[in-house]
Amino acid sequence: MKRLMIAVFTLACFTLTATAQESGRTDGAEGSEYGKGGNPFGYSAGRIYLSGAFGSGFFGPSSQTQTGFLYGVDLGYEAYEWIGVQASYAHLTDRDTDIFSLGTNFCYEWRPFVYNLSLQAGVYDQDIAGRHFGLAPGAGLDIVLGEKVRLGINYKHDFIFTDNRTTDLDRVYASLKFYF
Amino acid sequence: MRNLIILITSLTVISCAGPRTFTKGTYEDPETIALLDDRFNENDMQLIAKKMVSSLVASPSVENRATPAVMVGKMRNRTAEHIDMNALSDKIRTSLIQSGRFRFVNALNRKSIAREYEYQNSGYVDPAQAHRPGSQTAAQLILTGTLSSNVQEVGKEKLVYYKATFQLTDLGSSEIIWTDEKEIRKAYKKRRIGI
Repeated sequence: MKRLMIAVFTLACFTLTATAQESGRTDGAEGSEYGKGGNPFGYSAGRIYLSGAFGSGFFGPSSQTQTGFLYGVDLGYEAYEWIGVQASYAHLTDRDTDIFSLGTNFCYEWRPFVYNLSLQAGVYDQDIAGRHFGLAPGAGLDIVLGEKVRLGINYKHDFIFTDNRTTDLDRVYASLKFYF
Repeated sequence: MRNLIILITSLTVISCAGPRTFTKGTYEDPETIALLDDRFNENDMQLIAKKMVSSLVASPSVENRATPAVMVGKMRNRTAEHIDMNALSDKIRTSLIQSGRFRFVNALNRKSIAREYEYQNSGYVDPAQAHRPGSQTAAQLILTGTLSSNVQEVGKEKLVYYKATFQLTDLGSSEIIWTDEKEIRKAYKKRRIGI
């Protein structure tokens, strides 16, 4: 799983380099404007972000559970202002659950707020139940604190597919996101 | 959980309320390339003017003439866009005058100048200082230009091509003594800007 995370991060870095576009100037040598352009005042496409998260998670009502402390980290790449990919790790103290997931993020920016919808798939590694696959749709609201910092509140509902049934997990957490 | 959903919904509704307007701005370097949309912009004008000025100043056929007097003639816009051709010719004229290699006669304000002659010779102005018709500099050359375009658009891709052709004609012989062109091609991709 660690190798997968490293591969995703490396891929995101290469993609960022490939899509970066310089503004350029018109007072250089003739032809120096080739390949330059973009919108220097708007959104800079191709940004990597790192987000720290903390909150709580609780398994569905059918499970023997107690609310656990949740912490984690998200590493994402926004290809455009409305879509990106994200790799996440989260740890829930209840059942000693590790969650490794990968998925897409859809954003709509209405400053100072940014609304997020996400869908992630991943591995849920539980101390007592072993490893299982699951899906996690989610929604969130970020507040833009600065060009490179956002504070958010998020909700995710996890469907963990086990042998005989689907286990539900709700996650509510705050996040602090830094863009590079 | 219900309270959280109510909070998020409330914040969504509050943040969507009210019109948006341009209230935050900064001064920018005008020679920085900025392509906000697919139309002719100030960068295209700067690139055309730069090419024409450098070509004119270095032209051997102009070098032989000592600071020739030039008039700006017809500037044709053959594109489908509204483009201020006067702004383009003004930019070229300004750079040429500042180069010290050319003089320009003011053809655009001939009527105003003629009216001023009439006024200055009407008795209101000191006759010793009044200018009279007959002392103007004759233009030796006329600068004309044409801007044309071609647009190719398929799906999300769009290519916009401009070609600016300028020429300098000798008013005596009607010979084109200099001409040059600047080609500009810009590639665009459609992007979503709202919901």
